[in-house]
Amino acid sequence: MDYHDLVMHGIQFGDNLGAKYIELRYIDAVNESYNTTNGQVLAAGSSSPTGIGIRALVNGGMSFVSTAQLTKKGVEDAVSTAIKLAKATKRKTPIVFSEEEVVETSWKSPIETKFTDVSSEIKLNRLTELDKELVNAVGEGALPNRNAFVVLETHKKLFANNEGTKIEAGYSVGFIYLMLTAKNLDKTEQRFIGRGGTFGWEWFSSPNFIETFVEEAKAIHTVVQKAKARKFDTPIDMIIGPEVAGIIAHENAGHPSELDRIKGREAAEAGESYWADVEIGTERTGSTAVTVIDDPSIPGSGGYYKYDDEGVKSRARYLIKEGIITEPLTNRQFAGQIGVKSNASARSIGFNREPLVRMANTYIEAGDFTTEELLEDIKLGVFMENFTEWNIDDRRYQSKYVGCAARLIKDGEITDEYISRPTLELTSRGLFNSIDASGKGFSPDLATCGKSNPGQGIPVWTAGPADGVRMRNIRLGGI
Amino acid sequence: MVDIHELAEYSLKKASPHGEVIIGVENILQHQIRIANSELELFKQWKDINLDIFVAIGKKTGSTSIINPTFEIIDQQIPKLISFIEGLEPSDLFAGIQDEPKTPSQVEGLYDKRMKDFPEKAPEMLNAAINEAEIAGARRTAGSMFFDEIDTCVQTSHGFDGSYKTTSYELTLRSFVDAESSGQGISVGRSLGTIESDVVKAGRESGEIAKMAIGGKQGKAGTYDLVLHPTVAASIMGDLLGGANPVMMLMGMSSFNDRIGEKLGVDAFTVTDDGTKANGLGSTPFDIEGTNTQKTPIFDKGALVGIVHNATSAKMFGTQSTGNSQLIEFWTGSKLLVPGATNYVFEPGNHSFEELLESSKPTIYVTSNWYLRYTNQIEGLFSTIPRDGMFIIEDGEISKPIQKLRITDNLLRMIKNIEAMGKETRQVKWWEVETPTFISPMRIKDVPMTAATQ
Repeated sequence: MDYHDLVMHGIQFGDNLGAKYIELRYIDAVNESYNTTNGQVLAAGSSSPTGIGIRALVNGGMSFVSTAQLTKKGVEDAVSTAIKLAKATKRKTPIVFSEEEVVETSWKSPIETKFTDVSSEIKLNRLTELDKELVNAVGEGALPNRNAFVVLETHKKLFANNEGTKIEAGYSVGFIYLMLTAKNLDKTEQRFIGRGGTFGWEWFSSPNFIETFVEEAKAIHTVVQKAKARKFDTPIDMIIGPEVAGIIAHENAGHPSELDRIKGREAAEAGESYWADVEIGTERTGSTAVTVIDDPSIPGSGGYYKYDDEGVKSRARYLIKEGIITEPLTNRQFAGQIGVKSNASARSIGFNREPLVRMANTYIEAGDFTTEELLEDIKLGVFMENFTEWNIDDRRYQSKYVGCAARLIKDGEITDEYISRPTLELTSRGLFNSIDASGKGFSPDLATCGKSNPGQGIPVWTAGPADGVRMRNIRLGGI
Repeated sequence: MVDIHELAEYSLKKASPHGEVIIGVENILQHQIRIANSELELFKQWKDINLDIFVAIGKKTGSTSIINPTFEIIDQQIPKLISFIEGLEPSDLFAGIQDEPKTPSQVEGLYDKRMKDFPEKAPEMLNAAINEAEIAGARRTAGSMFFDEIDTCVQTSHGFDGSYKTTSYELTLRSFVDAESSGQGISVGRSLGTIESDVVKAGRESGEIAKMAIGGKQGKAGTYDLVLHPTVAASIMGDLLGGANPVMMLMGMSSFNDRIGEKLGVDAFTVTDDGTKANGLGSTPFDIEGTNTQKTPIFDKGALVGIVHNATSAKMFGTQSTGNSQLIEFWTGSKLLVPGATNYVFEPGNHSFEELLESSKPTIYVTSNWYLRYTNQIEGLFSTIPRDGMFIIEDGEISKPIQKLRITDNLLRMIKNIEAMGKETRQVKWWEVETPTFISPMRIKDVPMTAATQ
């Protein structure tokens, strides 16, 4: 049997065993990764995880089983186990999925050069070339730790369920993380940078690939040389760059918007959400200048998909619109629970992981201001271009962002005075209420969003206006 | 089902003509039950054979992993891997695998045959834990329990051939009275001997903490002495100890660079990496290169005395492997052959929990934490967020719950500020604690606690 036949047989088999709902998701992946440390290979390899993930709903209980035994018997055994485990949960409150349109279609992410058409030698050479350029830019002693991690994934997928939906998909995602330590005398600064998206090798081979990181190396080199601690006795205004705006969109708006969190499904580990206490659709969590969107339908983006892992068509979701909490991210289970349609947020990292409610590309919407216009009336402030440490509590309300490249703003100008590690320690409402203007443009970073257990690190974009976002009357520090 | 020894032998035979080879095969039967809103939310099963192949052609190295391999798939994948590796540059970061393997050692207590029947019993046992949490005060519970049975076989091109069986379980149960009044209980181990009572005890502990946390108000930022529950101590101290690793040092992810031999902590700070610890979730008889596991002192009376090694890092440091070689996945695709921790075992102190609470200074008891991140890992500057019950201690007793503070300190400073260690040790492993850690509660002085400014 080929994989089409196996998937359709598994669905029929589960239907015959009494599953109210059953889905089979076949994935044939080629995953490669390369890790260099100071230009030397620490690890490299390629794997091809291929198999089928199965979810079954029986008597209101749900199960997940995966199998890499791609035979008729292997699939039948896995489906039988799924039916048995779903029954064993003996739920008092049945799980009910939202009703969704039945779809039969296919989609692909646009790429020019397949990862699988490029040799390991060329891929690794690109990384060693990058390392040499970083060293050339600032000197080896100035960047004593240079760690590069590259991941290249190619997925072929077939999703089908017993409602009649059947979707074939093919996509590639590639990304790089660079972890740099800059040193000056006995002082160090560290930074983690992510870039990538759903494209092919063409992005890695473009001149911009190296130039971007060389600029980052120069920037952190400047920070470690120039940054000095400065205490502000009064609240100040701030402009945050797109990297900071992006992580804020992800942590303070994206995660709390996940309906499985709101409903307690992830409460044991990943936690819950302060949105559990709000009136969705009417309650304000920020100023009218704040609109946060999560949009999986951006081709080439880190979180791009046309249909989610439950077969629902993707679209932009306005999580916060002009300061009002408007739409949580949801899958079919939780949409069913609150009586709405799914907004296509179900994603899984592989055949052996269940689909979960996930973000895709989360960003603070751009406004009409240039950076100069945002700066205009700031007498004293800080321009926080990027960040090092961050964290947030498990209700996604108490957040902290520590600046890396941060400069003093004085009389409407960004000065050459670097401020060491300014700290934003703010509640989500405090943070979003302080924003009064958003700049123009769109600048994304790639991040691996972690959730659930077993962990599913999934690629996303975090993004913000390229010209920055302005925050008023911020008291830095924490204590 | 194909025999894992046959798969290992076959893979080794195919790959070893090309260079040094490590074959690791695991036959895994793993289950997970997730709990949400006091009900069993999802029952999962993974039944797989995982084959890891690591090959070194001179100083060029690479790996592949195959799920449920057949001889035919192995025949296809090994030439691909060899071709992949041949395209790479030689690396100065590889100095060979263990080439003098000894007879595989045995570690007792890794396997419990009662695991065979456990999947049938687990739902009922978890419902009993949920019930116990509710008796203790919880209005709702959430949780996750993993349980597994794994056969492992390791073979290398230097003649090592060893195998062992393990079982394990990991339960995290969290109780809520309301959205902001919560408590956590965990129970982990390899033996199922006392699992019924241990699981119920975890339920009770989570419910009791949640009930005590009712009505917690915003805490006041400032400097406090902290009493850390073992769960918190394991998270914070474990993160620091992760740096006692040559690869982490190389990558700039350690606070210990060039500091071996220095006294960094107080006398009470004695820690061993112990791959032989009974019931330890990180215990195995030997590592992935076939080096027998051992007890490796990391801190002795506050002095950093050792770091973990595999064969490559040991050669670079002019020492012997400590039996800590692991194939660690980073993202997807390949695995790093690097030293990794097994179980951290802290020497307990002689203080009862009540004695740890005795202080004339402002003191906070922290029962759980999450999301630890660094401003600078070399300096040890970090913060993490207490969650679940957090309490002000007055006159040696828990007096009132507080909320919404952040531990913002320096790990190297904290190990100098440990004032007392408890005498009762427990094994901790959960979402925030990756390395199984045997640790007691501890008291640390003068810890900055910060809060949101607006």
